[in-house]
Amino acid sequence: MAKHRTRYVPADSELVMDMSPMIDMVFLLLIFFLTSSQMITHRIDPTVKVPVADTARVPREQIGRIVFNVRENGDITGEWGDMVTPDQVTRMVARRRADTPGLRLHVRADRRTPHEAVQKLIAASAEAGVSDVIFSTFIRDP
Amino acid sequence: MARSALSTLETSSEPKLDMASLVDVSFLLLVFFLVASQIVPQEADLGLALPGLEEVAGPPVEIDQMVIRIQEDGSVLVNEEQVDGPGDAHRLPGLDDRIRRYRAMADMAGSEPLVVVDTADRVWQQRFIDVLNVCNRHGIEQVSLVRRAPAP
Repeated sequence: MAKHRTRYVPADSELVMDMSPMIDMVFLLLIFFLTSSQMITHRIDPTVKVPVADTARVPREQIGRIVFNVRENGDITGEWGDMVTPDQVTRMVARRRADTPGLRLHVRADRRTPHEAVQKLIAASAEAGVSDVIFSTFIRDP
Repeated sequence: MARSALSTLETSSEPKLDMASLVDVSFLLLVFFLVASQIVPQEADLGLALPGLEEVAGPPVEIDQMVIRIQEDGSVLVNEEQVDGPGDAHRLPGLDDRIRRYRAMADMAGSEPLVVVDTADRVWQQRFIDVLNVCNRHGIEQVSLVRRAPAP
């Protein structure tokens, strides 16, 4: 009886690699990336380095916004990186406002951009009836 | 004969789950996340509800309101009195103290604090955000901006 239960490996048998620790590690890494990554819901201009404000809050959702970037030299770009003038901003905001009630202006302005350029953008948006403004900031300087 | 073979199969073999496909999918997902993810510092929102843009030809009128002026060099004036000088300090302690007191007075009077920010054209956006940050810290989100009329 005991003889039948005894397991032994013959000399010519192949070695089997234990995959369990590797699977464990893969799952751990997978869960880490799944939980820590965040889907970007709007395109950002990587050349824009936004200012720092410690009272800013990370939003739960980013819907109902129209995003404009203001580069260091004062150029205004749309979400897709295309240069726009204040008149175009007014038209774009008016168009989006017709589709999206409660639309807000999301300003991603560089920290070194002259305020004049930002004010032009806000004024252009206000002309289209959108005066609720959100400024992108870092909570801490990265 | 067939009966005995079936019974031998039932007793000796244990059901085994093939993990190969699961590992394949896991690796694919892992590689996707490794390649697609990029460590970007998270951006936050600093909200501002504009009651309106005041277009003025001269200095703004002071009617029971706090007028904050940011000058070209980054110094901050409250009702024409300098409270913070130019510099890199983001916290603006002088302005913070003035807004705190103004907020307390407005609360006692039962009125809504009204802040007007007049920013020089060449001021960096960071300085403007510093001022908004102090306003936000004291719960003031209704801020008017002064837009200077273009020179004729």
